[in-house]
Amino acid sequence: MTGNRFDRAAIVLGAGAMVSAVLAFTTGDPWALARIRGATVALVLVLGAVAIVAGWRGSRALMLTTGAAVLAAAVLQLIQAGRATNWLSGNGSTVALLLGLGIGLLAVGAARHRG
Amino acid sequence: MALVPDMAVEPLDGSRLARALVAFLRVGVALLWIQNAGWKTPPDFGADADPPAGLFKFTSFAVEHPVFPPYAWLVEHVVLPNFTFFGWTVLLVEAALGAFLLVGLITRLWAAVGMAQTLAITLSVLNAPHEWHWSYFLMLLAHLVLLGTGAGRAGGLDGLLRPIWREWPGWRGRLLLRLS
Repeated sequence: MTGNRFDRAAIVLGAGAMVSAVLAFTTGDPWALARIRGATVALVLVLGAVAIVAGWRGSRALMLTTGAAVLAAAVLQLIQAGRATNWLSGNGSTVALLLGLGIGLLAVGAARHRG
Repeated sequence: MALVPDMAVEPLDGSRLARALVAFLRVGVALLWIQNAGWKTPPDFGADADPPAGLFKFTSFAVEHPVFPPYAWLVEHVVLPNFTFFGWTVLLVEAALGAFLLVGLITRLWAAVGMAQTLAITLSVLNAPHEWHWSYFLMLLAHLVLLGTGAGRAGGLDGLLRPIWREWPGWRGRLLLRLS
């Protein structure tokens, strides 16, 4: 269950990813802190939920898999930012947010067996 | 010799409230960098627009409204002629600043990087029209607090991982402890 501090960190990161979906309702300065549109909304909701499940079940493999998936999305967004083909409909701010969540989940998953 | 010896030995507030506020500051600064990465648009970063726009336009202010002549020379002769490389570097640095400060990982290193990036921005736009100089001074000061407090230890991954890094033998663990 959720007794391990690494598991709790995975839950917080997953919850943070899901909360970031509210940015889909923001437009322009000052409140559009990150561009969360289109497929990115589904991505943060689904992968955030999976991260919460990973933390809840204490599954290191699921934390690492989810972190890798989020990181892959960040790399995809970095490649497509500013281009006509932009599957995640994001920009550099989307890259930054996904990068943080992905690195965070990978770090927590990698460290979990030591906790 | 300490200027005020009694104050020098008084420990900083380690209460839950103080730690929560430091975490709030760290996440807030991270969100500012995340937002700032949003308008660095590859592949040309505004250089090909007519008139120039985006990052290229704001970087050009270092030459049009110089703050520090050697920096203006560097921008004019090195940065602007190689702007694709420079634009990608800025995007990657600012995205990484937002990412690492958001989760509080290796926070002292990224606070130092944030100060360097803030200095570069300040030297570019401080004298440009309609800029508010307090913005840049406040950015610099906020990063000083993150650096000084090791802000990732409050609600960040540094607080989770430092006990593990402390047990690592050799230089890797010592380095990570210093950078966090």
